[in-house]
Amino acid sequence: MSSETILDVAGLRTTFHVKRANKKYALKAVDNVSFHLDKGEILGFVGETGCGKTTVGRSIIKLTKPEGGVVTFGGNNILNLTGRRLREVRLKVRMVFQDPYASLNPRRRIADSVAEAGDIHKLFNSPQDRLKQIAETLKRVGLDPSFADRFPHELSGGQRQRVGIARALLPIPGIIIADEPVSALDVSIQAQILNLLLDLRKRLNLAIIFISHDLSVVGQICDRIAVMYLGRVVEIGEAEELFNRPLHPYTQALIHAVPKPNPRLRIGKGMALGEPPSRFELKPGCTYADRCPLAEGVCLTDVPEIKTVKNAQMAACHKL
Amino acid sequence: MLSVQDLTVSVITGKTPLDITRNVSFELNKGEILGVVGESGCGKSMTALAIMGLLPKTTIAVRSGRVLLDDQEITHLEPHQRVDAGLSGISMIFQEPMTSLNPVMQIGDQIIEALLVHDRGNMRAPAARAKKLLDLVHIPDAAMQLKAYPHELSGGMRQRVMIAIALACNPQVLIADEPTTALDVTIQAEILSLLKELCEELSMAVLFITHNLGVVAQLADRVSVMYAGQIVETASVEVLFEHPVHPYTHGLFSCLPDPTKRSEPLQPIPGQAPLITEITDGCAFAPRCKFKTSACLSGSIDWTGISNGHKTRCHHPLKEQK
Ligand SMILES: Nc1ncnc2c1ncn2[C@@H]1O[C@H](COP(=O)(O)OP(=O)(O)OP(=O)(O)O)[C@@H](O)[C@H]1O
Ligand SMILES: Nc1ncnc2c1ncn2[C@@H]1O[C@H](COP(=O)(O)OP(=O)(O)OP(=O)(O)O)[C@@H](O)[C@H]1O
Ligand SMILES: [Mg+2]
Ligand SMILES: [Mg+2]
Repeated sequence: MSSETILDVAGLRTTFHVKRANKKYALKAVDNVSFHLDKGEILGFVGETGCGKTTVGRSIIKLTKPEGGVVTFGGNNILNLTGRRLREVRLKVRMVFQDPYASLNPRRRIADSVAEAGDIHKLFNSPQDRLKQIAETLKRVGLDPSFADRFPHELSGGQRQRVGIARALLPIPGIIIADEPVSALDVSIQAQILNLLLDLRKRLNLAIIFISHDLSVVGQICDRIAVMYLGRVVEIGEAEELFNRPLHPYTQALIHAVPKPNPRLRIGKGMALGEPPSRFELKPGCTYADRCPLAEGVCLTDVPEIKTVKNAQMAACHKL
Repeated sequence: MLSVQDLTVSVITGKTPLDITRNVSFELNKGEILGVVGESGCGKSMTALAIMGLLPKTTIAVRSGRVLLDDQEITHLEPHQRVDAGLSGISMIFQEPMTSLNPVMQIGDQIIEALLVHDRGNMRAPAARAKKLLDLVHIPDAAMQLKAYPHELSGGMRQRVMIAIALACNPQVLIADEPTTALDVTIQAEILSLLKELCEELSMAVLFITHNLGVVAQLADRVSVMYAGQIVETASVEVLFEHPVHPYTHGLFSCLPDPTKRSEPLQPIPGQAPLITEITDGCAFAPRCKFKTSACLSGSIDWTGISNGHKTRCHHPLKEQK
């Protein structure tokens, strides 16, 4: 695998300003997130629901406007681009959206949704070429070409999810930001899609940001994994290391809670993390302190910086 | 409690009806959790919508078969007729939250609306009850989030709002269609133990549709496996995971991702499932099955009993242990 960096994210911050009960709050959905992605690399993002994974993905291509940070791609800071140049970047960095139903236009046929990027950038030589490419792309994700003529409501959840993936593959981009791309697929079709992504990475050096709650999938296909908690990356490292020797107490809790496909190994109760902390009024100190069995003293006063703990594994915890 | 008998759901827009599901039958007892797994597009959600009386009637309808709740037939009752007849004890968590949440209404009001339907308008302190429901599904800042619009929430928060709405009216039967796909594993575990508690304490029955075999193993009492519109295997969860006999079920277990075997390629089941227009006589899985014989290519495949409570629609159930 090449070690050439294709995307570099530094100090990304995205804040939502919301009003609740006549008070204004600044909700820090993404708080100082930094990472890099190499060509041909698959970087997993996991973490608590609502911790900011989708917002990181959307912020990178300015679908949500970040408040600060630098996203370097092809020599430019994406966050400074607008208009045509931003559209060109979005052709090379494509997103697979988490909620397929909400991201497909209900009144457009599947063919038009799949061909959308190609149509906007006038990439098809002829109507026949367009139809051929749509059919090929649908086949890639395991859908019969006859689905091209259907509307989104005529598909099952998993079929719509595959349309969402197909849209991001025509034309094949340099980077895919895939937000829960296989959550609605049975394990056989899931394996087929994962093999497709692995194959594209091998043949075309495609780089992937792979957001998922399914830790077995992430552990299987990602090269590195970033763990987020309340807007921050709290651990990042090689997949195998992180899976087998998690450093941060939150990562440990996550890996412990993976449901095992064996009815004789039921987790049962007693693994609850306790009440989730407020997003609106953050306490000082480590955001995980409230739920952390190790928290004491400095954890309650200072925010831990992310630091290298061993080899390439980094974590943000005072106790390491 | 809930009995589904020979349910056939069909697309009725063409000249001849196209069957999405064929003769789906199962019983769901009080306090029981039945897991349903199966290929994407095999008719799980349509079965669920048919039970709820929520099929898009002009295009898709129940062509034959019956749905009984506490021995009363509800197959063709509209949702409002069910409320009037006092047979509204089934709630559903929908597969995609945005299909059923109202994008321009605050989530607190959506929960209160669900509470009001159930209590027929008279209710004390609706906002407090709505907040309690959000607490129940572990949404942080519940009091403040009552005022949030769906787009201001993350995928997993929206999913938990849906769960809260489905639980608002203390259902006797809960149909949960992929209810935890957007939840991290720790919150997923909390939601699963909440459902379990409701089953044990209030005898709620759950039909739990999921692709996550880990979740099935953790939660279900029994499991049914669907393929191309039919149930092809049913067993207790222990038996199904230890000794799956239908070649499709067996194939599913062999393509589970396993982070300890990163270097080995994933093994999807070869071939594709048939489209509903392509289904012919015989076993729908036969084209992909390495055990098929000429007997598998014609007629309808009946149930074969394997052991008490374990049955399959297959002429050549697998013998060896997984
Ligand atoms: N448009 C918005 N307005 C206000 N708040 C928002 C908006 N979008 C997201 N948020 C908030 O930002 C936080 C992060 O949301 P995000 O969708 O990025 O989480 P996530 O990690 O993708 O979660 P999930 O795993 O549940 O999908 C959440 O607290 C959410 O409520
Ligand atoms: N209006 C329609 N016209 C034709 N086919 C349809 C229509 N609506 C649904 N279908 C088909 O019916 C089948 C069953 O859909 P259903 O949503 O029940 O699948 P599912 O088992 O829930 O799948 P998933 O796991 O992907 O959610 C699908 O193959 C779908 O393409
Ligand atoms: Mg998300
Ligand atoms: Mg479905």
